[in-house]
Amino acid sequence: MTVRRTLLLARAALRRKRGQTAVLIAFVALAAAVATLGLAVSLGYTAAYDRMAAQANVPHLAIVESDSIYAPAHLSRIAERPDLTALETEAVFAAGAKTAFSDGGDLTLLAMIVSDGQERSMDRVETRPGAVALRYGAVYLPYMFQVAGDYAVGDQIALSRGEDLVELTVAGFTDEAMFGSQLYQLYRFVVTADTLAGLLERFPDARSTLIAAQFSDPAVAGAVALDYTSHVLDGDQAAMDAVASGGAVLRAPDWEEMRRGRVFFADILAVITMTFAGLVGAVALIMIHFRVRAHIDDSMADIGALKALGYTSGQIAAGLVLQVGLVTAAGAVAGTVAGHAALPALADALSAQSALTWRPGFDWAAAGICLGGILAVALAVAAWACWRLRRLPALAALRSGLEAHDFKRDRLPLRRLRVRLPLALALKAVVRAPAQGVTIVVAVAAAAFMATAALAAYHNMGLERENFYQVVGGEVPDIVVEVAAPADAPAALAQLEARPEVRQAAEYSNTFRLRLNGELTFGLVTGDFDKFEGTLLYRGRFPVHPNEAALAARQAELLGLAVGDEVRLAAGGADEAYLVTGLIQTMNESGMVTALTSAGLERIWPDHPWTQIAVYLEDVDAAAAFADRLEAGQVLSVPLLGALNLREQASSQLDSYGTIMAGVAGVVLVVAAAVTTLVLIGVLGTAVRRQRRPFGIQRALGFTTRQLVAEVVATYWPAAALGAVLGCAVGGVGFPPLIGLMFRSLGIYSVKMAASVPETALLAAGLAALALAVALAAAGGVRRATAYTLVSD
Amino acid sequence: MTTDQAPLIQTEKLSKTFSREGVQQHVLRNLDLEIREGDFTVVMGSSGAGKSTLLYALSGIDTPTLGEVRFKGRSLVGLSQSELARFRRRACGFVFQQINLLETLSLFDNAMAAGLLVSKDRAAVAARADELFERVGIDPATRRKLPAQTSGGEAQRAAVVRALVNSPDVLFADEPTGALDQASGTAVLDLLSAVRAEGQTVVMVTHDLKSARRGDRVVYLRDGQVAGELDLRAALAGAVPAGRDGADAGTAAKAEAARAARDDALRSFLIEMGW
Repeated sequence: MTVRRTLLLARAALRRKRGQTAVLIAFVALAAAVATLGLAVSLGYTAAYDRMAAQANVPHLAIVESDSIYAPAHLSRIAERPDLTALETEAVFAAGAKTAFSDGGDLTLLAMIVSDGQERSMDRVETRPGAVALRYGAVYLPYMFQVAGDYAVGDQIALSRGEDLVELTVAGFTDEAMFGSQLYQLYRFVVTADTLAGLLERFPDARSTLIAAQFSDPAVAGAVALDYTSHVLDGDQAAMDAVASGGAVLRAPDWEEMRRGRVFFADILAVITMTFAGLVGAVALIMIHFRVRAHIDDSMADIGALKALGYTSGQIAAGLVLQVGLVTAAGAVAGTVAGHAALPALADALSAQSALTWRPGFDWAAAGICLGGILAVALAVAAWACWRLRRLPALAALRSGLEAHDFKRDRLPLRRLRVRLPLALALKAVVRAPAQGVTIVVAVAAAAFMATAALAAYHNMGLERENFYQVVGGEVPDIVVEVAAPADAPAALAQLEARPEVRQAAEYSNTFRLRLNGELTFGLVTGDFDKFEGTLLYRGRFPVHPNEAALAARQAELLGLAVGDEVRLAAGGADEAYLVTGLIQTMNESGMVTALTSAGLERIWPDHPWTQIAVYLEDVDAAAAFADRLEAGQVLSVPLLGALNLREQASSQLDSYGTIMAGVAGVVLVVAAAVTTLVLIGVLGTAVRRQRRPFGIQRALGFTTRQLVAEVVATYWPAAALGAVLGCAVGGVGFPPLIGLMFRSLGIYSVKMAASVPETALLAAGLAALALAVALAAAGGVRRATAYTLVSD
Repeated sequence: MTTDQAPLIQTEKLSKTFSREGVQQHVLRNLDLEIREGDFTVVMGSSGAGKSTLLYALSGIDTPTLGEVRFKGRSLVGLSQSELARFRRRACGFVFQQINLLETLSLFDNAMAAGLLVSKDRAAVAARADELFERVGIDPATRRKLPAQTSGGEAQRAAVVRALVNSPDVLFADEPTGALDQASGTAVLDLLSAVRAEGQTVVMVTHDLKSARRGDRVVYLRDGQVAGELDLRAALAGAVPAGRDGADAGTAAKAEAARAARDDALRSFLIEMGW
């Protein structure tokens, strides 16, 4: 009987307030939809990658080594390990090359070409639908080349090595768990055995060995890789020099490292989505609390009557809580379904970015967590909002909540408020019931905060991408020129510095190997670090003197080093002491990078072949044309091996992130606008409905429609505008530390990505203008009613 | 006040029809009525006769279905809601049965809100409100209270202040004592009589005989039409009794005689109307 009564009360209340119920359902549905997306990505995306890797039986460790430096003894470092469970080797083609990629851009990569006829149990070739049979001169490309490189079956792909060109016909695409990420530039191409034989005959220096290994504990692979690359060439200076100069290949990616690179963006997206869902959910909870309290206020006399009849506070509260439960359940179910409907589109976008096929089905785990979590929290909030019923005597309730002898102060008497009457009444309303204003401020501020963060992320990753390029790519000069002969480097540098198109140029060398206190590190060297323009320096200063070095912060952490410490750097046989003057931040080479000056490198490697020059242009938009002219020999008098347009390369690699962030920002902006609108409709709708009678009285007294609308708008819009300004301001200030937290896990400790002040201001103004429009529309309820309708209501 | 003066309010074939679930309800039908300046007009009738509807039509709160309402010669029909609002704030004062003070404003601010609609001079409006509150016997402390913190009588007296703060042409009162106890009701009626004596035009709806006594004129409605009118002043003519020695009787006796004459006339009229 009690349950039935409770149900009837709840149902009746829901029917009476259909509009308010619809608004609340919309809020909950929005939160549930976004949470579903976040949970599905978080739970499903990495799992999809792991399934692909398991299907292909991906090796825990893959080593690619040029035959010019490879010796069978190298294999024993792996083969003699007691925890080894599988080991395979095969002959491959491995060499640096360049190829066209997406709309005329260039991609510099390490191309590893394998035979389709090779028997391999690990990292099996998995072709995608649409692939045709391989024949001589044809190639299977990693899926990345289709989704990001715009290649299709039947296209020609040209791999250039200096003056040499390898042209192959695209026969299809493969799903690559190990060798298909843009972050590591190591790609596997599959050709027929005779095609491979032909290539190896034509490019004998590219003959290489691929070692694939699995261990009983996959986690050891990283350490094994580091040990291999650090020590396998010990005592073989010529081999080390060859690797350092780029004449030989020695790469050892482990699966965990590759996996991290493939899923990190999805993880970031999941964090952003779940945070956003949390914020929208918080707004929904605020609205639930507000609605329950408003319902109690509206029904005070009824509640008093029920209490007088003998109903307990618990019974009365049960009806309210049940209302909330029904509404929340409806919204959560709708949102979960909507989220799942949107999931394929998100999956396609992620797949395009990472070349990882993910076909999410209905994620029961995500749905269950979403529904259960939202319902539990909503019911708890509703129960909390009903707590005041326990303290409310029946008599006070019958007197509409006012206790006897309640001497409320008359704040802001009209005789002292020297503003126009509608504004005066609005001010009194705000002071009298601040909770509504606070609700609006908090809810709109939350929406504005997220919108600002999303807009700032898009601004930095989609529009003004310089910082993003620097964060991901380290120091990114506009062009890197490579001279054919080291002896020509000084002349080339002088000629470049004299060019009007060139702002500055410096000798430059990176990715060659050194030893830091016996551990492998990659060197980053230039004549003058003052010419660097990126965000590489994290703490302290760059090295200036020959006996100084700066370490990557992640490397320093791992090795327990800090600014002021002394380290020993070695190349070949020489070994010298250096003072650590600073820490740098980079995602390159897994954060194992050491920076020193040219003079510093000469202390341990006097014969280092200087061939690269970093060039910074006056007009960065002219980089492509300038690089073309350099390669055509129209700029310098010395012969060049190449002029790499790094900006274009960074753009082709990283633009997909910008595209996804544009989509995310767009969705977040729309949702922020929706949240602002729904909050105002919810609060104003309630207020106009509750004040229907007072408005009628005011009409009867002679208030015009304009005055009543002005009163309503003046009561609620300032709170929304304040929320928009506050949320945007906090979002703008909070964005850098937020994004910093995300990148910290990748070895970037200081991110100079800021929200654009004009864009943020425009967003705040836009949200405030939207709030004004919604307030005016919501006040329409006043406009349509005549004085008689309201007085007799 | 003479009958030669143009009426303050005049209706011509005033009709009001409500539609409820497809059924037409004719509340006022071809009603012709004049309200003269300075009169205290009482509108009576049985429940559903259209008394309150007539009041709202005369004041512009409601719009007629057919017919004309003229206030000082100006037609109210066809005015927009905003024009009617501007008309009401200056020309009309209201006292409702449910009192209808704004619950979130103090008694004083209820009057100020009405006054500030017409005048931007805060000090003048406040002074006028203070004067009226004094007159109705509400002390300054009570003026600062919210309506829910006061008695019904105090609230209704505050409503009278609100109605008079702009010195309206007409004071409309819709069963002003209906929700009050006898003492409070009498106090409110005394107020209305007092302002009437100062020349204020009053139109009051009531079903109460004691309230009706206060009027100069009683209009009886039946089935949405004027069934009859009684001019109470005319009923008093010749009602002053002569003394035993031929001189006029004393003031008290005169007043008593006047009261008795009014009551008799009123009672007879109402019985005739079928009340």
